[in-house]
Amino acid sequence: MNTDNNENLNELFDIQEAERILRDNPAPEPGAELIANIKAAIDQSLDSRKTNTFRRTVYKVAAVAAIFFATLLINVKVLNERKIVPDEVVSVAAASWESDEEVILLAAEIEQFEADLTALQLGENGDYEYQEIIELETELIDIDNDFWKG
Amino acid sequence: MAKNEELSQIIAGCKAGKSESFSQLLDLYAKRCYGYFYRLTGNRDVSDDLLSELFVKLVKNISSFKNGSFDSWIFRIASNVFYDYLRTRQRQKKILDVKRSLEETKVSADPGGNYDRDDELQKQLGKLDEKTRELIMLRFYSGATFRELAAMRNEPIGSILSKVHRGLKKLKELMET
Repeated sequence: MNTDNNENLNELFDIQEAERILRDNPAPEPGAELIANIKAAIDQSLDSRKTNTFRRTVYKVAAVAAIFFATLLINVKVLNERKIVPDEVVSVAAASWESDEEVILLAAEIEQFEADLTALQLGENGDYEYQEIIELETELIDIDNDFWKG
Repeated sequence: MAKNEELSQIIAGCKAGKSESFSQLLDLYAKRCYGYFYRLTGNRDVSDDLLSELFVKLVKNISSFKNGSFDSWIFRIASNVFYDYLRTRQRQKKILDVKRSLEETKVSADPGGNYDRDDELQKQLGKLDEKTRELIMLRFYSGATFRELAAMRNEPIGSILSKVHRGLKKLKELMET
């Protein structure tokens, strides 16, 4: 053990002595121009790092904004879909009532049939048989149904 | 060398991305790192490039320095930069024809380039094998202890001590003859 330690100690002394050669023969130093160039390169590298950081932040904000707007759109769409049944009913009804002329025509037909029916019931028109009254009533119901279906 | 507290402040500034802190760091380490590269390559142009590369890497990786010896950390990166350079050079050599490759192998024993021909030390360093030369330079310029060198190289401390001792002994003999 002691022999090993002594050997290591001798090696260390040898090393220290040999390293003196390195100290006595210094290597050349970097030129001032090189140092200036490296400083410029460092600044450039830092700038690009800052730009990249800024760009990354912008991308992140844009991604978050995109997600936010997409969620917003989906929500609006879902809300609209929930409303679609009443909206559609309203729009269908509106479409049915769109033409005043059609309404007037249908109303006139109904009135005509009602008058005919009343006349028959009162016996004003003796040509009509009971079967004809049934047919008239059926026709009236059909027209009435068509009217409400639009 | 900066006091530990001063160095800690500089490193904190570098981590915050302050240009002047990197500038201070460069002023502190440029000479030693340049000496390390120059003694390994014997070429001023290559040393210029390697020093630039080292500091560009530092800008990118400074946040990965947590604690411990900053000198060991920076020279570990410097060592990686040097070995990357060697690998690139070896790949380039493979691309060239075999004859030229053989010639360059001879040149690498004498790390030629544009070193001062009166620089006897540089001439003799070229006679050491590359790994021993790198280990000696790492020890000398980083000022790392043998324990730190062993940790950097992932080798037993005794093995590192023997390699440095043998290399320096040989260098001393070469310089005395």
